[in-house]
Amino acid sequence: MTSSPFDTFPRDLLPELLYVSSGEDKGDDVNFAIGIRGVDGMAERQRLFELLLAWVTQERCQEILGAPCLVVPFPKVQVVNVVALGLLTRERFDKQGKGLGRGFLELAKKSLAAAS
Amino acid sequence: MVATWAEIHGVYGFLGDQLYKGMVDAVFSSGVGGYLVADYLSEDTFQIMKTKLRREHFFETFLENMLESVVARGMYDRRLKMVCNAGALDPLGCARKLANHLQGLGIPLRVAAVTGDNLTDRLDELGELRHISSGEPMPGKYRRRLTSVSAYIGAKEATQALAEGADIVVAGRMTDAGLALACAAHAHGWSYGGDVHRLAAGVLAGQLLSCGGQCVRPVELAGSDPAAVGGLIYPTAWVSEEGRIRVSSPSGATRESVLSHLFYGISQREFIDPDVTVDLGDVEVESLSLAEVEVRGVRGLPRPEKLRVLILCSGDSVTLKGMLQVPLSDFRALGTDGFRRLIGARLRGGGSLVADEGIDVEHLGDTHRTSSIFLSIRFGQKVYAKIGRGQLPSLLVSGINGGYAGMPRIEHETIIWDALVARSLVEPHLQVAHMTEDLGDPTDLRSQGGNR
Repeated sequence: MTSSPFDTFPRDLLPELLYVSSGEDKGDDVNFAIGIRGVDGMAERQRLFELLLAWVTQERCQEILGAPCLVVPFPKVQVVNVVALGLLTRERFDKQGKGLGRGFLELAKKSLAAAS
Repeated sequence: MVATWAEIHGVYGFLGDQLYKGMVDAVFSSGVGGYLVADYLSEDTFQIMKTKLRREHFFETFLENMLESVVARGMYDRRLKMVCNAGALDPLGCARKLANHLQGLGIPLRVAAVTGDNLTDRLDELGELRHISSGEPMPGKYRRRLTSVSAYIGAKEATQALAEGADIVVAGRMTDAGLALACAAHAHGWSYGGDVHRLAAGVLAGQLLSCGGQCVRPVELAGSDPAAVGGLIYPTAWVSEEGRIRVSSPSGATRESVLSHLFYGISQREFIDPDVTVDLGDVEVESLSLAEVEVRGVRGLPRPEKLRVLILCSGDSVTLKGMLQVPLSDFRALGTDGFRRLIGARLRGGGSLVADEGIDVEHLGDTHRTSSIFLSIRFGQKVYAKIGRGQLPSLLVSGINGGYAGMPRIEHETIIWDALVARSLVEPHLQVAHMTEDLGDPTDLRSQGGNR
């Protein structure tokens, strides 16, 4: 069985606790913002955000997306913003990257399901 | 002390947006003295609107769908003002049409245009136009294939036009975010040389209102009511005098939906607009109700030294794209590489000049008996793309026993070249032109509404 970067996705980050959006109509780079939702209590939200931030590294995103990435955290709103540089130059269908973020979460979801 | 809020409705999300209901909802639910913003332009829109004929067509679409008699009357009676970037490369032409249209309806809304952002005829004055990311000077071949050059301009002139009495301001490549800033600055009397935090709140409100209803749609459809999503009502932003923002929609708004759109197209901690740089690092977002979200902690930083310009050119190639359905067993036998070679050989046999390396075949999925594949074939010249398109039916009859899953179309490559220019090359040329005569100062009814 081949390994995937998602094999190490934190088990506490259940898919229903995350939301994501992506899309770009102004060029070749595309970003997606992953946030924490549906969690009561700031402390727990912050704990999950820190788990997410520790996992969403530039190197890991680059490995998953095959493009150089920037990762910019926004701790006050518990969002991690990932920018994939030049990724849209090679997209044939999803030319605005609108499915990128959801696709990313789907891979995490599959990994969590496989591990449980 | 009661806070004073500017009430700004998003009514239009892109060129061709025909959610007429959105305009009606906004006009007839707005308090007296509210504002409407209509965001028209994606970068590709300039390519669509490059000819006069096409511009005329889209201006007519705008007028017919958005400003028919009842809506225009509603705007006038409620003293609503609108700022839009519908003018693209010709704001003056759009504003003239709009003024004539309103005159024909007998409704004395006053129209103004903001001009001077179209730099297409001033290319030689703009220097090397180094690319905003790579730093490379703009290649000569792009200069020879130019479609348009436009500067992203801020909101100052639109605010000036409102202050001078315009009811509808038509701009060109004014930023989407600037549309709301123009309204908030007019409502509150903000100075463009003044408090950057307030200007930043106006810009962020504009970011949230841009692209129609994106900031109030569900972040995912799972668990949502399809009919409710279909009936989504475009958002309203309330911007307070001191720079707080509330976003609402009668169809619902959540913290997550607002945050999702807040980060649309954001690549760094800052959001750069011509009038101010918005620091997003301290922004906080809180849900106030099922239909309203508050955004606080918006901080402004000084505006950028230079202005971004959008340059559109025709690229080197044309691409033929289409989808085919082929027998599952054939696809499994040949695979994507086999199909690539088969298609290349047939197109060359028909007289088209194409290399196998220029052909992309992507497998989309299978039913129990067919495979769907997406074709993307690059040609150096349009004539060969046309010949290639002519060969595809032959391939489907006398080669692959398949059919189209989507009609093939030829797309011309468009190059978007982003560069920065000195403000001094643009700002002295920005002007406000009023289309209609001053019809007197209507009674200011704003004191009867606009507060909450």
